[in-house]
Amino acid sequence: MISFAETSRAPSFEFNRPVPQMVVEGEYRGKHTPSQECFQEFVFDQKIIPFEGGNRSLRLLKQLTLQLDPATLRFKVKDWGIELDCFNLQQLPRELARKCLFLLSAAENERLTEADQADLLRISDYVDYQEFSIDRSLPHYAEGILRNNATQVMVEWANGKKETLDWNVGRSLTEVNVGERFSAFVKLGKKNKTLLVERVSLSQSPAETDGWATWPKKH
Amino acid sequence: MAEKAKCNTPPIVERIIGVYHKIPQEEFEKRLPSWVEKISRAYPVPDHIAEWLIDIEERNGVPLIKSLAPKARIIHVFWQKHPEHKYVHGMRVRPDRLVFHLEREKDNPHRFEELMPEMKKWLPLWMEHFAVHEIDGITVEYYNILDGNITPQFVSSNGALKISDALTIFANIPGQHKGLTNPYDCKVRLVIDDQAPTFLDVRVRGDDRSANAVKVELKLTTFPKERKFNQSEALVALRQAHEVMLKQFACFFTETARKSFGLL
Repeated sequence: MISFAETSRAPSFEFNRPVPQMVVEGEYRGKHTPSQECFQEFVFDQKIIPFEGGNRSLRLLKQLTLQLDPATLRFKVKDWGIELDCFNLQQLPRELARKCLFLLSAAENERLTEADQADLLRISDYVDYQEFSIDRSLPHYAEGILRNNATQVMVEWANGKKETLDWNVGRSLTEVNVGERFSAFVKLGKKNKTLLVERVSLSQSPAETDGWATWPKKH
Repeated sequence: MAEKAKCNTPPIVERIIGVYHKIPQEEFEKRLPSWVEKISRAYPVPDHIAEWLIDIEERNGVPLIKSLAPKARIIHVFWQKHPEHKYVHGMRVRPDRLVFHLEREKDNPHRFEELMPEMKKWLPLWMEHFAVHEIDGITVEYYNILDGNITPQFVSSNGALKISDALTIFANIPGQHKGLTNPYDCKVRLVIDDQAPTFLDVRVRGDDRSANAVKVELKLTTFPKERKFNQSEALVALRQAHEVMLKQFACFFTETARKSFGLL
C-alpha cells in the first residue's frame, strides 16, 4: 500500500498563506469558460539531460513544450518528433538523448534523410550542439612545459600558446615541477580552452635555451 | 517531562521526514546523476514519478490560471531493496528538498526510529554534494488511514466507518444527527509556535483506496527562528518535531482509539 503523500511544494512560514491543494474534483465558475488549450501545453521543467549513465549531459537552450492529447493521455514534444504516454514522462530524458545521439551519428556518417535534416534543424534551436560535440570528443595528445604553479597554473603548450588553467584542471599537473616538460591527453572546449588534462607523463626538463625543436620525436 | 507516547499499532500508512533548501535548478540537474551513483548501493530501485502542475490562484473568488505555463516535471524517487520487492524505505530528491519515506507493510506500520538514521547518514552527504550550507526548514509527516483493513474496530457491521469513535474532532459535531458519513473533508493549520514558526497542518478527507476509508494527514513543519539551521540543528529540529507530532497525534484520536492502538 503506497500513498505517495508529501506536499508538492516547499512550505512557507507565512501565516494564513493559501496552501496549494491537489485538485481531485474541479469546477469552474466564471464569466468565460477557460480555453482547453490552457491545459494542453506544459513546459518540461528540466534543462539538463543526462546520458551515458550521467557521465555526459545535454544542455537545452530553451525549455521543451509538451503538447498533451487529453483523449489518448499521450503527449508530443514540440519540434522533436517524440511522443510518449503521459505516465511515462520519466522516460523523456532518455528519448531526448537518443534522438540527439541518433541525429548526430547520422550527420557524422552523412546518413541524414530529409526528415532527419528537418528534425535536426528544428532541434538545433534547443540544443547547444557545439557543447554537446565537445563533451563527447576524445582527449588528444599534447605536450607542454609547466611555467607556474604558485598562485595559478600556467602552461606553455608545444605550439607556443600560453594558457592559465582553471585550478581544478591544473591540479592534474601536481607532480610536474615548474619548468619541466610533460605530455598529456587534453580535452579542449570552446575557444580551445583546456577542460581536462589526464594521463600526464614527465619528460626531461629543457635547458634555458632549449626550444621545442629539442623535443623528442613522437613515434 | 511527560512520558513519551508509544504507539504499538497505529493506523499510520506512511511516515515522512524532510529537510528543505532551494538548490538552483541547473546545479541540481548537473549534480543529480552523480548523486544517483552515490546512493545506488543503498537505494538501488528507481521509481520516478511524473508530476503535471497547473498553477491556479483565486482572486476575488475567481479561479485564475497563473501566467506561468503549466509545468511537467519528474520527481526522482529511489527505494531500498526489499525481499518481497515492496516499496518501503524510499528517498526522494527535488531541487528544494531531501525527503525520506517509510511505508506501512500489512500490519507493520514501522517506526520513526527507522527513518532518522537514514536522514542522519544522508543529510551531510546531500549537503556536501549539492553545496547546501544551511537548511530552510524541516518537516515530519504522518499519514493515517481509517478503514476496514487497518482499523476494523471502527467499522460497523454494515461497513460504515464510526469516525466519531476514532477522531476527537468528529466526536462532538453539533446539531441533531443519527450519524456521520462521506464525504469527509476538513482541514486546519495549528500554530504550534509563532516565534520559531511551527505549524501542524491537519487534514481529514475521504480516501478512495477502500470503501468508506478516511485519510488523516498530520504534517508538522518547523522553520528556523533567526538564522537558518545547520546540519545538526536540523536533525535536532526533526526529533523535536517528532515529539510534538506524538503529542498532537494523541490529541486527535479518541481515548477509545488510543486504547486500541496501544497508546494507553
